[in-house]
Formats: sequence, C-alpha cells, structure tokens
Amino acid sequence: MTSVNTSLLQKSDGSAELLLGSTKVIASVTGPIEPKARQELPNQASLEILIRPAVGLATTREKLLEDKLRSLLQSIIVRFKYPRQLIQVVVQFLISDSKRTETDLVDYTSNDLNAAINCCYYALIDAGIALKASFVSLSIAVKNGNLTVNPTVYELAQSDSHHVICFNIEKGKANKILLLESQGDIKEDELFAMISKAVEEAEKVHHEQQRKFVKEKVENDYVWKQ
Amino acid sequence: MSGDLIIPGDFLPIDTDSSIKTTIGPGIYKNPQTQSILPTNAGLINIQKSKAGTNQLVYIESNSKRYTPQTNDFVIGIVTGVIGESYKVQLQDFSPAVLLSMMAFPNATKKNRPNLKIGQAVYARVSEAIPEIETELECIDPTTGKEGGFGLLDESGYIFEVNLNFARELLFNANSIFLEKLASKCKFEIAVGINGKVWIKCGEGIKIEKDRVVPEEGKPVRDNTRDLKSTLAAAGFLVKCQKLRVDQIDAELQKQFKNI
Amino acid sequence: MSRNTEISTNERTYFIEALKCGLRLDSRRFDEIREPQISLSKTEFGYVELDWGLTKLAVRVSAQIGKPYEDRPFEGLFQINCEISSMAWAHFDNSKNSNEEILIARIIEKAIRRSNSLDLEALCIIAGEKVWNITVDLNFLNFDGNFVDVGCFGAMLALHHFKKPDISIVNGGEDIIVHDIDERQPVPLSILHVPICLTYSFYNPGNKESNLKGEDDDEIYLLDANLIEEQVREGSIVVTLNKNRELIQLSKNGGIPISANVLLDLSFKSMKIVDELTELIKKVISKHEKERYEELNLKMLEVGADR
Repeated sequence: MTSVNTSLLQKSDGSAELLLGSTKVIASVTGPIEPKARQELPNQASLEILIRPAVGLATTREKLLEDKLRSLLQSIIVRFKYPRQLIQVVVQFLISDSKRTETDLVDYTSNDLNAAINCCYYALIDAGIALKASFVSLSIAVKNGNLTVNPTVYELAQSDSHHVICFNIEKGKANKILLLESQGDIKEDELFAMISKAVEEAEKVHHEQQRKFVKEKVENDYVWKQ
Repeated sequence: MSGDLIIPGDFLPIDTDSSIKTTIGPGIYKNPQTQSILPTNAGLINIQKSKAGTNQLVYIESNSKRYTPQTNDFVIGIVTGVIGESYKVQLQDFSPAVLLSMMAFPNATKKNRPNLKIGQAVYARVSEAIPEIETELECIDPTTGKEGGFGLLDESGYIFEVNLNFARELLFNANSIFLEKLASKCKFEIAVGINGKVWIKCGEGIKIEKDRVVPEEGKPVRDNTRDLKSTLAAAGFLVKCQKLRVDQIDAELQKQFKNI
Repeated sequence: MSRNTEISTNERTYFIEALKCGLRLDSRRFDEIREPQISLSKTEFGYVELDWGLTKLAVRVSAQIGKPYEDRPFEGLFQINCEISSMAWAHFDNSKNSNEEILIARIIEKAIRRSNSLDLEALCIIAGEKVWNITVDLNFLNFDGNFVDVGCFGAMLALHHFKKPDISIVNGGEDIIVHDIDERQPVPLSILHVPICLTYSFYNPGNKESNLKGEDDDEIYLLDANLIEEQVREGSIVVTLNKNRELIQLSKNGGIPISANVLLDLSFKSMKIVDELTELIKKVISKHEKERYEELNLKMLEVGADR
C-alpha cells in the first residue's frame, strides 16, 4: 500500500515521504538556489542529486541510482526556466529490503529505484519546481508471462525478469517512456505486452493515487483560506 | 474551471483561438520550440477572460517556499555586503544575491550616499529581474522619485518568514482577517515582502539602550518589555495561522497574547 | 560560493533583548530541552525515528560478522556514521565535510564509542576470527539546532532497541549458524552505560571588556539551542554525563570565556536532565518490549513455570 506525506521537512523547499510495499524513502528538494561556480550552467538549471542508502555508507550502487535519476529529472524539469541556478535533490532510504541480501542474492534495487522516482515527484511538486509533465514509475516482475506490479522481494527473486518503467503523463494519459531498466531474460513480445500493461497501470496510479495526494497537499497549503 | 486542481501535464482549458491575446502568469510555461502552453506546477487554475473576449489571463495559484524575483515585486532584503557602487542584498537563505545600487535612493548623489550596514533590512522594489543575469532592486518610487515607503526598515521591528502564498494574502488582500484580528490586540506597523519576509513592530518595538528615554518624575513609565512581547506574540500568531483553519485563529490569538 | 546565511540585525537584537528579559523566542525556559518524540520500528530491530522539536533524525543499527583487529582479538567492531547531507539544511555540503560536521561526528563518537558504552567483548564470537561488527547510521533529516545532543540520544536509543540474531557454534568452532529472527529470539546488545550529551550555548549581553575581565558573571546560558539560537551564539560547551554521575567528556571549542565555577554548576544542573532522558530511554524500550510480548503472544513460548 502506498502512502505519501509532503512538506514534512521545514528546512527544505519541498519534501516528501513515501511508503511503498516494504520500502520507505524520504526526498528533499531545494531550489532554485545559488550554485557553486563549477556547477553553474549558463542557460539552464544544474541538478545536484544525492542518494543515501538505508544501511551503511553510499557506494557505487548509489552512484548508479543517482545517474539514472538524473537522466530522468533532466528531461522532465523545465531547466531553461532557472538559468545559472542549482536544484538540489537528496533521496534518503529509510527502510529498504537490503537486509535480505545477506542471505539471498537478490537485486532489490528495482523497488528502491521505483520508490525513489515516485517520491521525487511529490517532492518536486511540493517545492514548486516547474515540470513539463507528471510522471509515474512502476516496478514490475515477470514470471511465466505473468506480471506482478510492485513485487515483494521474494517475488523479485523468483521472477524471470524484473523492470522499472517510468512514463510521463500528459493530459491524463501515459505518453512517453522516460526510463526503462530491465534485469533478466525476456522475449520481445513479452516486453511489449509488459509495456502495454504498464501503461494501463501507470494511468491508474496517476488518477487514483497521484491526483489524490496532490489534492491533499494543495488543500493543506490553503487550509487558512477555508 | 477556475479554482480547479491542475497538475503538470494536464490539459489547459484556455481558448486557443489565435485572435485572442493570452497573458500567462506563474505556473504556466510556453515552450519556445513547440509554442505550446503548459501548466508546470500543481495548484488551482485561474482563468480570466476580458468582457469583450479578446484577452485572457491564465495562471496557477500555488504555494512554495522559494521565491523567484519578478519585476515590480515589493521585497524585504537583508544587506550582506558591498560590491563596487552597489549593496549586495539577500532575499532568502541560499538564493543568489541581488544588487541594490547606492544611487537607487531618493536624493542620492556621488557625495550623498545611503549608509546601510551589513545585517540591516530594506524594503525595496525589484526593478530588473531577467533570469539570466543578476536581479536589481531600487528603494525609490519610480513615479514620484521620492521614498514612497521604501528604504531602511528600522531595527526596532522584528523580521520573520512565512510561506509565499500567505505573504501574498497579507500583502494583496485588503480584507485579510489576520491583520484585522491582530489589530484588536495591539497597535502595529507591518511591512510585507512578497519574498516571504515580514517586518512587524507593535507599539515602539524594542528600545535599544541609547534610545531609551529616562522617565520623567511623576509620569507613568512605559514598560519596555510589553512591546517586545507583543511583537513576538504577533509574529508567532501570523506564523501559526498558516496551518490553522479560520475557526481556530481566535483561540490561537488568545494563546499568543495570554501573558501580555 | 559557500552557502552562507545572514541573520538580520533585527532578529539578532530581538533575540538578545528577549534574553535579557528572561525570555526565549520559543517560550522555553533557559534550562529546558525540547521534548523528544520517539518512534520505534515495530517490524525491525534497530530502526528509530526521532523528532526533537523541528530537528528530525532517523537512526539505524545494523550488525554483520567480520574479522576483529589483530591487536584486539577479543573485541567486536563498532562504528558510528554521522554524515550530514544537504537534506538537513542546504548549508551542509554534500561533497565536503565542513569543520562543523566533523566536530559533531567526533563529539558523538567520543561520547559513545570511546567511552566504551557498548561492551565490545560481548560481541566476540570466535576469538581472533569472527566477531560482530555493529554499525550505527545517523541520518539527519532536518536541522533545527543541536545535532550533537539529538544524535547521541538517538544513537543510544537505537542501540537499546537493536537485537542481533542468535548464533550457534558447531563443528568444534569451524562453522557458525546465524539463526533467523523467526527461528530463535534475537539477543539485545550489552550496554554498559548510557552517555547523554547536553549542549549549552552562551551569549554575552554586556560588552566584550567586562566579559574578558571576568568581573561579573552575566553571561547567559541556554540549553538545547534551536537554529537561530545556534547561529547567534558566541560560544558553546558540550557536557556528556551518565546516570552514575560520571563525566564522560567535556568539549569547549573556543567561544567567549566563561568562569570555571559556572562550568561546574552547569555539570551539576545537567544531572537532572540526564536522569530524565536515561529514564525515558528505559521506559520507551520496556513499553515497546511489553507490547511486542503481548502481540506475538510470547508467553506461550516461555519455558519455565510461574513461581
């Protein structure tokens, strides 16, 4: 079950905490602020992205996740609106399935990446950063042609392949694929079937959950007006 | 329609007829490549059409904490330094500094410069806000050439921060109940910057040592701390009101002014 | 460009004048701490979320099996990770640790690790070969002053909450079986004492000369400063004590001079709060234990008769 809280960190311009399955993550967005000299870009905003794991210090795994998140955010944020400024995004995993990896060699990163992307959406909305469109990310496991959306760690371990797919939502419809990360074996027709199903699911999540949470946030912001 | 929730990527219900002149405001972006007009923030959509139907205005009413300078905004800034012939002023923590020229004051000449120190607050108008270059402020009324309420905000007032939508409410809504309610508890002077900073002084505010008046024989002594406590209570009240419903603000007002 | 914030003279003046009148901006007493809001995880051991006023912290304790240091074959390993990201406040740099951050990390480390609050010998499994390696991760989420006190309290709370998996040694010391928590009840850590840090900030309402000459003691002390109090302060001292009235560490790094008897006075006054906070940890943990006992119906698994 998904639950989202926004505006919980007083010192960040925008923040959100997301609980998705057994993954809990908090993201903070601050910007547009003054960049360091080496970060400044002459006609667009520069992004500083930091991901911190639930346990231990950041390793190469977090660097890879930062890279994937960066490529996604770079295309969805209206960067030309904030030239010579910096937007800082920090994602902190609070609870993830990492403890399982001591005994089972499972790549739990799919669920983490998925939660991080969805959490960043709410944090960016909370911070008022201009976005070209909304976006929804899903984690999908495929086994024997059956798809499971938001699989548990055990379902991931037993799947034939698992994927993280993120769409942008324009006018209420999933329009483009912003990110597709896949692990495992999958045939071409299965892949396309997976993507079609994901389109349906993403639109469902957008209409049933995203709009609901954003509505709550906006109502909260204007509680003094009612 | 107006007042509905809109989130980035949604369909924008404006008239796309090319004969209509559309003015876009906060939260709306025109893509220079595709010329399409998109909503980029989440909030309440506001569309206003002129009577003749030839002009329309569209913007999104949303809240944020980070202020982006726009021309003609009235802001409160803190002086952080001097660069050449201008003061460096900070409108918000971590935001890029803006410039306030020493000539942008009434009756300013090369010999007659304003005397602002680091840490002092000024009420100014944003005169130039092009995103690619440094923003500039002015402390002079553009039409009359006089002070017009701009300039140094003296140190007897207290400064605090509010969210941007609340600042807009305090500044632009003449019927704002918050200030009305506050006036029932104390006499105050207030300056609201649209960058979220508010300067307030109840009564005389703080009397700094050198300004303290020695009370004359037989005349009642004005309690220095009363104004200080009132000012802090007023600030606390306004900050708390951002999270309360209309029916809860009376109770909050009583609570803040309990010991005064 | 370094991320500096400027406090207006207005705020500074109001703050000092209010102090002179005996008022603190958030209406606390000078020697009052903010009340901690504690949230212990029900699903895993060692994860705690702590709200101290507006300062927010998430602490996690984890354990792995590793090789001990060669010169200390009977002791387990213990480290505290205390990196502050820019999530807490944009002032903190992600790439470089400022002096401030290093100081906070060192004080917490000295208070907890170097004072031997955790029994390292109890972490030994097979001497010289396998020991438990305990890691405490402090993740600061929001900064409203006083990371030291909050970090130390949070870390001790999480260490009390944490339980490591039970182990059996088989094949004459050749193999270790680590039991899943569903198989055997996990084992709490052996904590020898509970250090509590308290930070006092000082302000000089008078002029510099009288402070340096030490003629009158009218410097003002505040316990548990929030953000603006920390930014305006002219000096600070961290006193770390435990319930047994032992002084663990004392840290005063520069700042305005204070008189020595004030220092002793503050240490004595701190005892009451140290007692309260230690009690709070014990109370919260035992309540949590009791709830877990009842929820999981552990009474059924007990071996032994009611006497």
